[in-house]
Amino acid sequence: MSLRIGDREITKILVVDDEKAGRESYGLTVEEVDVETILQEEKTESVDKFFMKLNAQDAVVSDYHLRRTSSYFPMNGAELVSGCYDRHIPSVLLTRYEKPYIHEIRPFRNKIPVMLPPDEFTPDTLRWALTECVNEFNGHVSVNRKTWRTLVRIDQVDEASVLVFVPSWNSSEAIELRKAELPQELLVSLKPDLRIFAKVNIEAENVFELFFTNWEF
Amino acid sequence: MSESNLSILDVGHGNSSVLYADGETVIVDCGARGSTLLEFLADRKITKIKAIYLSHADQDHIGGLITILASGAFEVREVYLNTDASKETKLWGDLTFLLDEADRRGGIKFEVTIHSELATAICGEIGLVPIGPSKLLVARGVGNRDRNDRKITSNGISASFLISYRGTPAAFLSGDIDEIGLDEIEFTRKDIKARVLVFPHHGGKPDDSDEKVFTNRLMDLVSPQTVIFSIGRNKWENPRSEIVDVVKARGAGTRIACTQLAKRCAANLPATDPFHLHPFYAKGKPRRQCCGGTFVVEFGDRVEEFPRHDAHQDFISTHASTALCR
Repeated sequence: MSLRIGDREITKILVVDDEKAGRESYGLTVEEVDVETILQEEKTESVDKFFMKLNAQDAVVSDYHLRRTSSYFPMNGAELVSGCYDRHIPSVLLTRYEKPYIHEIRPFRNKIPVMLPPDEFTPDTLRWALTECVNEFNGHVSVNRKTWRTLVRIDQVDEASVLVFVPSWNSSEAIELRKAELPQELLVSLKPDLRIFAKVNIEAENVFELFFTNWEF
Repeated sequence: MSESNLSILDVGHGNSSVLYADGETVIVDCGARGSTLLEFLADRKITKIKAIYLSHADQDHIGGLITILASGAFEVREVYLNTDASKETKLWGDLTFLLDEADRRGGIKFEVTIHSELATAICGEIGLVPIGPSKLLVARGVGNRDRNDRKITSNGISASFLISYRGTPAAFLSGDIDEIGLDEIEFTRKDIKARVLVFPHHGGKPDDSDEKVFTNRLMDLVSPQTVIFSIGRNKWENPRSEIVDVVKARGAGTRIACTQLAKRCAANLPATDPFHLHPFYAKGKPRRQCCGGTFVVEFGDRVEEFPRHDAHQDFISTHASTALCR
């Protein structure tokens, strides 16, 4: 049993969710692509140990929520998928695109090639998502995830967040960024109409797909 | 033989045309948001741009210049544009911020007047001749009155250009000119006959004027063999059928090409990648939204247009059951 994705032969997919029902539901979908399906049942205390268990023939499917059940996992799904990305392990993040979590996901979004809502998680979308990951590992980044240095205009500054515009993405849609998403050095100079630069995926289809790296100010 | 061509980019709803000859690049309008122009230039390994001209201050023509300047990936030597006091937008502020910054660094020359007497720009053997607006329209400016006492709009003052190759007119890039701009071209007796017409305002309504009368007048003045509508599938409902009907009435010898596949021409997108498109980058390509895609005029001993007419017609027959152009 294996799944051919580009130059990869995937033999095992690990399913991570802090709720048993979620793991089992996602697991049923994974089984349909004809690979060994492992449900991550036990609690994980050490992320390093978790990654040590994985090899190049593995892939990961993770829900965003991994900490509702106490001590199931020491990080959220976005951090987990991002860690997989660093190790070139194809992985998919499942999330309902809930607005409160966008700020927690965005700092890792450049290392999350595909996010899927659970109701769109099917064998076909899983294969597609893994293909997108492998393509990105091989340097073929899709146009809507490719970043360019671009202008960011600060519009409003509040206690905990800022509203910014990225005119090359959408000149009429304000983007709320939590201050925690910005470099510390930038915070002291924040003011309305300040224009700075960052690398942004300016072809992103919506604000959930958008991410910022390499801030310059 | 060296490469000389005019690319009318599929940027979605917006305009951008790239002249390339003998290693030189000149751009007219930069499209709206997104990375289309960057991807196009990067694909062609173009990093130096001799000059960029902006026809007018609308977002769907200037947005891409912000993207180009901010990217830091291109050496832009000259930028030409007209100011528009009616556009007190933050976007205009973004553009002028970047231009000022580049100007102060000494890396760019930017001029704030385009008019019909501005010198022809040369790109290899391709010439870019400013046709409008007249000096009179520029001097009076948006919000004032033209010689027929009509209020001058942003579109009325839009710059337009005639592209020539070895001195022979090849294409008329009309920006977003409306009836006022067209009247001024006639009044100043400019010859705008050309093989290819990039239709103004993406085939949308030309401000307050009668679109059929406007289209007939424009077709008479340009006498094009090919009319291009630079449109986005998901924005507005262009080109307007009233305009396409007038163009069609000119006969089968007049080719009509839209950059993207309008929803009213095809409710659904093709299930497979089309094969008729030119290899140059087009915004609609990744999502199979192209009809003609990026339209390329290759210059040489013969002038050739891509995508080829017959292959494009085959695509339309197969995938656009309600095509306006048929």
